[in-house]
Amino acid sequence: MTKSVCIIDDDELYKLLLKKTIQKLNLPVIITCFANGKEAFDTFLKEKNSQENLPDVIFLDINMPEMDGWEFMDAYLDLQPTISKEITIYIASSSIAYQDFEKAKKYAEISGYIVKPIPSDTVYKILQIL
Amino acid sequence: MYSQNSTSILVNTELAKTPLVKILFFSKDHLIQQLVQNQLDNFEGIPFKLVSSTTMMEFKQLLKSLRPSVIISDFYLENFAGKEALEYSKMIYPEIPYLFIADALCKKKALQYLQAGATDFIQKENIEELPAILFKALRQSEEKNAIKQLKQKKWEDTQRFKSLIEFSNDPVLLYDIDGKIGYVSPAISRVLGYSIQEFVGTNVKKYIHPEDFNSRLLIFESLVNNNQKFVIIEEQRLLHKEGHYIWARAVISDARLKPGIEGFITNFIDISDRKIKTEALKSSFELVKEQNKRMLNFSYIVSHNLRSHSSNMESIIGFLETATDENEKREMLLHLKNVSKSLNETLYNLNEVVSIQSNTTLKVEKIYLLPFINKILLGLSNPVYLSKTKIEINVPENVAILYNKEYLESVLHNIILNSIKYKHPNRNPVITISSIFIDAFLVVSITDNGVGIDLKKNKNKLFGMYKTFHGNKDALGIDLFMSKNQVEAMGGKIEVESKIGESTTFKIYIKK
Repeated sequence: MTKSVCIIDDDELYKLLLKKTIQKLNLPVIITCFANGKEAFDTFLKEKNSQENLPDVIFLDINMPEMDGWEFMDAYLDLQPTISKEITIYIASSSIAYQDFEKAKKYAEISGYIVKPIPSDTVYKILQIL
Repeated sequence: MYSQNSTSILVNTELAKTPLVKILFFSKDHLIQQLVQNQLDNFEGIPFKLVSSTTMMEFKQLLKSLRPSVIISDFYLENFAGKEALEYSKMIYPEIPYLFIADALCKKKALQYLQAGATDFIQKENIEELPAILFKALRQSEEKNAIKQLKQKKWEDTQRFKSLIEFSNDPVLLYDIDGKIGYVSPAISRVLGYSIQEFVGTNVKKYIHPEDFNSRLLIFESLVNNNQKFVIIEEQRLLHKEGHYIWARAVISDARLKPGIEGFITNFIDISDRKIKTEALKSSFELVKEQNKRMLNFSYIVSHNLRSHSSNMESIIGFLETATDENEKREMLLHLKNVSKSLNETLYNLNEVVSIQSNTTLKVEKIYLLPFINKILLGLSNPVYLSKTKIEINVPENVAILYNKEYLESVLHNIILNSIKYKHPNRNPVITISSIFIDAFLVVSITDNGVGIDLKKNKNKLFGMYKTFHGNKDALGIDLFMSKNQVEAMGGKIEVESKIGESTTFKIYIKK
C-alpha cells in the first residue's frame, strides 16, 4: 500500500535531499512538502475529512517562519479530534539543543526526535512500521 | 611637754563590726586630756582610738596620716592655734566633725567658731555630755557622708548614661507625637551634617525622603496604635544638610509613658555604604545574568544555524559517495558549493554578533540626531520613492548624543527599512520619527502605519537570529537581531509596540 510522507521545512535544499533519500528506498510513497507550519496546517484543515489527502507520517522542522514547529503542534492538537486519520509525527531538526529535546518530550503526539540529516535506514524503518 | 598616745578598745563581740572611731585630740592641757579620756572610757560599746597632739605641726601631720573620724580640740590654745587648726581641718577634710572643749566664758566666741565650721561646743563643767555629743556628731557626719556618696553615685550614673548617648557614633533623637524634635545627640552632625541647635525644634518629617514617607508613616502608626514597644525601619532615605540623601536603618521606640522622656525615641545608623555595595552587587549580578542569557542564546543560535548547514553537507557527501551517475555527482557538488556559501555567511554573521557583544572599547562620537536621520533617509530615497512613503520627523535640531556612528546608522536604517517593507497593502506608508528624554535615556520612536506584528505570538522571535514570521521572501531574520545587539552594547534597549493591521512603533533607548 502506498504511504504518504509529508515534509514541513523551510530549508529547500534539505527537502530536496530528503526526497532523494526516500526515493532511493524504492518504496511505494507519495511525498508532499510545505515551507512552514502555516501552509501545512491550512491544507490539513481543508482536507481533514479526506483519508487519501492526509499524510501517514510527518517530518516536522522546528525553526520556520510564520508558524514554527511548536506552533504547528499546538494548532494541530486542536484539529486532531476532528481528523479521521491517524498521523505519526516526527520532529526532524538540525538543533541539538537540550531545550528542544525536552520540549519535544512534552508532546505525547510526537513519536520521536530525529537530528538531521535523517539516515536512510531510519526513514526505511519508519515507513516499514507504519 | 608630754605627748601620749593611748588606745583603749572596748571589745564587744556584738559590735565587732563597728568601725574603729579614730579621735584626734589637740591640747597641751594634761587635765583636759584626762577629762576626755575618762569620759571616753565610759563610752561603752564603741571601739575607739585616741591620738593626741600638742603642737600645730603634730596636729597637721596626724590629721593627714590618721584621717580621724572626729577631732576634739581644746578651745584655749596659744596664738589662736584653735582657730587655725579648725580652719586647716575644714579646708582639707570638711566632712570630719570638729568638737571644742571650752568653758562658760567663751560663749560669745562660740558662734564665730560654729560659723567657721565647728560642730559643737562642750563646756568643761558639762564634760559628761561628751559621749552623747560625740555620738551625735559621728552619726550626723555618717549620714552626711552617705547622702554625699549617693549624690556622687547618682551624678556619675547620669554622667555615664549621658556620655553613652553623646559619645555614640549613631544619632539618637527624641520627639513628640507630631514629630517635633526635643533632643538630638551630637552624632547628628557627623551623619546628617546639622548642628544640634539647627536640628532641635524642627520636625522629623522634614528629613524623610518623599518616596519613603508613606511607608514610614504606616510603620509609625502601627507603633502608636498597636501597643508595640518599638518598630524597625529597615531602610529609609534621610535628607543631609548638603542636599543629598543618606540611607538609614532606624529603630523607633514608644517612650510616651517614660517619665523624663514622654515621647518617641529614634536611633538610627547610616547604612549608605552597605546599600551602595548591595546595589553594586545587584547590578553586577544582573549583568552576569544578562551575559549568561546571551551566551545561552548564542549557543542555541550556533546549535540551530551551524548545524543546519553541516547536516546538509553530511547528507550531500553521503549521496556523493554512492552516486554512480555523473549528472547526480555534478548536481550534488553544486549543492555543496551553495551550502558552503551559506555556512560562510552564517559564520560571518555570528562573528559580527560576537564582536558587537564583546566590543568594550567602541568608538563613540557626538552625533546631532536630526541631520544624521536626514542622511540615512537620503540613502533610503529609492525604496521611499518607490513605496510612496511619507516621512515626518519631530526631532529638535539641537538634540545630540554620544554614540557609535556605525551602530546608530545600521539600527535606524534597519528599522525604517522594515517599516517600508511591512507596509499595509491598502495604504501608502507614513513613518513618524520623534525623540524624547525619559530619565537617563533619549528615546527615539519610529512609528509606521504598516501591517503590524502579533506581539503575543512573536515577541520572542522578533529580535531572534534567523527568525522570521511574516513569510516575506526577502526576510533574513538577521537585521533586527543585529540592531538589538548593537543597541544593548551601547547600554540601551529596544522596545516594540504594535496593533495588528494598524501600526508598529520601535523605541530605541539611547543612554544620555
